[in-house]
Amino acid sequence: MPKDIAAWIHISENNAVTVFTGKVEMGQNIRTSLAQQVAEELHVPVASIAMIMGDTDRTPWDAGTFGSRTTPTMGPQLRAAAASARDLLVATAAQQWKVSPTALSAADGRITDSKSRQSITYGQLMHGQQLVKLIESAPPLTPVVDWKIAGTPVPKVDGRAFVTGRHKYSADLSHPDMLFGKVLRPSGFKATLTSLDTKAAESIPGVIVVHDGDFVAVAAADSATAERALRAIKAKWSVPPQPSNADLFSYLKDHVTASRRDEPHIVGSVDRALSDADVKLSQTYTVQYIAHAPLEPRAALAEWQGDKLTVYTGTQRPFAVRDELADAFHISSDKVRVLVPDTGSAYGGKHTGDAAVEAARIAKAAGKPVKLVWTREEEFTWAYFRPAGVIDIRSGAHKDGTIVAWEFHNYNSGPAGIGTPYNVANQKIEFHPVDSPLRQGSYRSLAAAANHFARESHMDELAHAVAMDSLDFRLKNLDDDRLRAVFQAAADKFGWRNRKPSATRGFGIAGGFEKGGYVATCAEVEIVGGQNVHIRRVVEAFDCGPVINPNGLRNQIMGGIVQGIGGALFEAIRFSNGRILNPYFSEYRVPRFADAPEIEIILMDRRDKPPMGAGETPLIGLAPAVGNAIFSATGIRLRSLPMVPNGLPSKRA
Amino acid sequence: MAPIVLLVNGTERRVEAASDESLLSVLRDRLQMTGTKYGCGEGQCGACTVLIDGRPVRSCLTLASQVAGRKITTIEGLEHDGKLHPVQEAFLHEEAFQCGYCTSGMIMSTVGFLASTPKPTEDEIKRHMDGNICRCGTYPRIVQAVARAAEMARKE
Amino acid sequence: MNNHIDHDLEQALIQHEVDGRLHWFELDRRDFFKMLGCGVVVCLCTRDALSQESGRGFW
Repeated sequence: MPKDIAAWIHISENNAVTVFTGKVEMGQNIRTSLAQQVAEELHVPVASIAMIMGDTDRTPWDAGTFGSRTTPTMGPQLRAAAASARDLLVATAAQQWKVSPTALSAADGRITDSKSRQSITYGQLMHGQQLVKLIESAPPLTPVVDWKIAGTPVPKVDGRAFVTGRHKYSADLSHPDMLFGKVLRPSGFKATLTSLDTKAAESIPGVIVVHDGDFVAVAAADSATAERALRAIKAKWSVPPQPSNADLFSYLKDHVTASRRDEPHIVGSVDRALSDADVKLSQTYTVQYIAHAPLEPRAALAEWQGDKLTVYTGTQRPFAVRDELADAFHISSDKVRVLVPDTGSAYGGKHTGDAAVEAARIAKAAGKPVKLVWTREEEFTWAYFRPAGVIDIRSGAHKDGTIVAWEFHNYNSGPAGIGTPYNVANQKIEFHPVDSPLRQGSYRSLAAAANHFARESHMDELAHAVAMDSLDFRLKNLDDDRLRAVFQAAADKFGWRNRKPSATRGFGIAGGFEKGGYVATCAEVEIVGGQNVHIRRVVEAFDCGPVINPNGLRNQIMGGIVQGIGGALFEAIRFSNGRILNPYFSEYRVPRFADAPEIEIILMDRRDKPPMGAGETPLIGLAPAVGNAIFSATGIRLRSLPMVPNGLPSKRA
Repeated sequence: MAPIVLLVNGTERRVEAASDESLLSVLRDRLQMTGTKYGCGEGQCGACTVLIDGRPVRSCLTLASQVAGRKITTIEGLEHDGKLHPVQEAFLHEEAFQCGYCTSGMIMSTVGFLASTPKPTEDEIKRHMDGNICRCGTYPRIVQAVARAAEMARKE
Repeated sequence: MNNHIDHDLEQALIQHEVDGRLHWFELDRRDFFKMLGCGVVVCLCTRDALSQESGRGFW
C-alpha cells in the first residue's frame, strides 16, 4: 500500500475532502463507515468527504473487497493517513503563524490558534496542493473510547440516491454510441461448438455478430434487436457427460485432488482417545451448491479508445479484473481502467470479470462501446457457485461431558472455519480439495457456514448423547472468553434457560469464531402442519471489536441471518449433465418476507479490541441453530443443507 | 418497430419499440429511465415494479404497447420539487436497504399497496410485499419502513 | 505488486480463488504466438504454475 498521504487523501481549496480507496461498496456500507473513520481522525464533518472507490486509475492498488478485510485493514490505513494529514496541516499552520503546533487545534476542517484567535480552513492553508508527507509510523490516532463520529449511527452517506432511483449501477450506465451486447450461451458446461449458422442474425439491419472460437455474441443498437439476433442464431454444441446432484457426494469423495493436500492438523491421537471414550459418534454432513443470486446481475459497459480499454463493471476485485482484461486482450494493465459503480451486492459472487471480458470482446469487434447485462438465467448458470461438500466427523466424550476426541474431514467445501474452538486433547482435522464438477468460488463466509453447520450440529448431538444441556456442554469445553461471552449474551436475551420445547416448537443454539468475529445464535422454530419449518425468532450476539457504525452493522448482521436461512432451509442448485435445472427465481427459492423471523441483535462493542469485519461471520451460526431447534421439536436430526427443501422428512433419523 | 406514446410520470413520451418489447426495456433502454431495475424477467423479484393507473405491476412482464395512454409512474416520478414521497422518506429513515438494488421496486410496491390499504397490519405488509426479493435480507426493516410510511401518510 | 501482499492476504486470496475463466478467445491464441519470444510466455506460464499450486478445488 502506498505510504504517502496524497495517495489516499486530498483536500481541495474549498475544503472538500476526497478519499481514495480500491475497496468497493456493494451494500456492506463501507462508503459510510470508512468516511466516518477519516472524519474522526482528520477532524472534518462526514458530509465534507467524497469517497472515490474501486477506480483502477485513481485509487491505490487493492486486492479486492472480500474476506471481511475492509474494517481490519482499510479502516486503520485510512485512519493513519487521516491522522498523519491532520498532523501535517497543524505543522504547516504552525510554521506559517510561527507558533508552536501544540498551541493549535484542528476541528471541523479548520485550524485555530486559541491565543491569537487566528483560524484557517485546511483548504485555504493548503491551496488545494497535495498533502506531501509519508503516513507516520505511529500516527496520533484518536483512542476508540474518545470516538465521536466513528462508533455512531451515521446515516448511509448517499442513501437518497437509492430511494430516488438516481444511483447508477453498472447496468444503468450508457454511452451515446453504445451497442447492446448478448452472448450465445452453450447448451451445457464444457461444451464445444460443433456447428454455427449466423446468417439470419447477420441479415438483421444493424446487427454485428462476433465469433471467436467457442465464443459467439451479437450487438445491436437496442436490446430488443440484440435479443432477436441472438434467437436467430443456429448453433449445435457437444456437451460431455457430467455428474448430477444424485451422485454429487460420492463424486466429491471419489475425486480428491492429490496434487494439493493441506497437511492435516493433528494433536494427540484420536484413535486412542476414542477407545477410552464413554460416548462415540460418527456422522456425515453434506451441503449442496448454492448460488449467490445478487439482485443486480453481472453487467459491464466497455469502451475501447485505440488500444486503451475502459470498463465499468460491478466487481469485488477491480484490480484483478483489470489484470484479467489485460490478459484476455494481451495488453498491459496500464492500458486498462476498471471503474466500479456501487454494486447491487455480490456476497462473494463477483470476484471475476466475466461480463467485463465479454463486453470488451464484443466492443473490440464492433468498434463501439458495448453494454452487456446478464439475464437472471445466465447469472444462475454461468457465474460460479458456493462449493458443495461432504463433512465426516468422528468424536468421543466422557460421561461428564468432556470431549476427548475430534476428527473432522471436509471434502471440497473448504477449510475456512474448519477448526474447533472447543478444548479437545485429541484432534485430527483435514481439508480434502476436490475437482469440482461445477465452477465454484468464494461465497459469503466461505466454508465457515458449512463447517459450523457440521461442527455445531455435531456438538448438539454429543450434548444429547451425554445428556447435557447444549449450552452447558459447549461452555464446559470452552475457554475462549469472547466466545463464552457471546454465548451467554445470546442465551440470556433469548431466554435459553426457560425454553419449553414441544412437538411444534423447537429451540437451538450454535456459535463460533471466524474472521476475527465471535458469534452466537439462538433460534426458535415452529413446525407447522407437521411438515413445514418456520423460523420464528433469532437472537444473535456478535463481537467484532469496537463498532464503527451500529446502524450499518445491525443491517449487515440481520442480512447475514436472513441470507443464511436460504442455505439452511431450501436453497440448492439442481444440475445434471452440465446443465443447471433451476436457473430462475421461480425454481430456486431465496428467502422472502414470509421467511424472515423476528431478529434481535446484541452488539458486544468491545472497544478494547481491534475492529474486525462483519459481512460474513454473522451468517455462520444460523443453520446449525435452526437444525438443532428442529431436532428439539421433532427428534429429527437433519444433516444435509438445505435441510427442508421439500418440508420435513417423515422418517425419524 | 412501431411508435408508441407512453404517459410516464405525467409526461407524454414517444418511442419506437418492437411490438413484443417489455415496458421495462422501453423505460430503461429507450427512455434512459434506469431507476426501474431488471432482476429476473419472470415477475418473481419485483425489482421492476412500476405503477399503472396507481396499481403496482411488474414492468418486465408488461408489454409497452399494452400500456400506451395509461398513467405510468416510476420511481423517478415520486419526488416533487426536491421533496421525497413519504414512502421514500420512510425507507431512508429506517435505512431499509443495503445494496439498494431492490429499493425502487420495494418503494413502488409500497406506494401501490398503501393506496389500497392505508392501515396495514404487519401480516398484510409481509403478504403484499412477498413478491419482492431483497437478497441482502433487509426484510424486517422494510416492514418497519412500510408501517412508518403508512403512519406518515395518515398524519399528512 | 507482490510487495503489497502480506501473508494474511495471500491466504485470503488462495481461499477466495474462483475456478478458471469462462472464455479463451482465438484472439488469445493468435496474439499468444505473436508474442512468443518477448518474455510474455514466461510470465503466463508462471501465472499458470501458481494457480496450479493453489489447487483446483477453490472455495
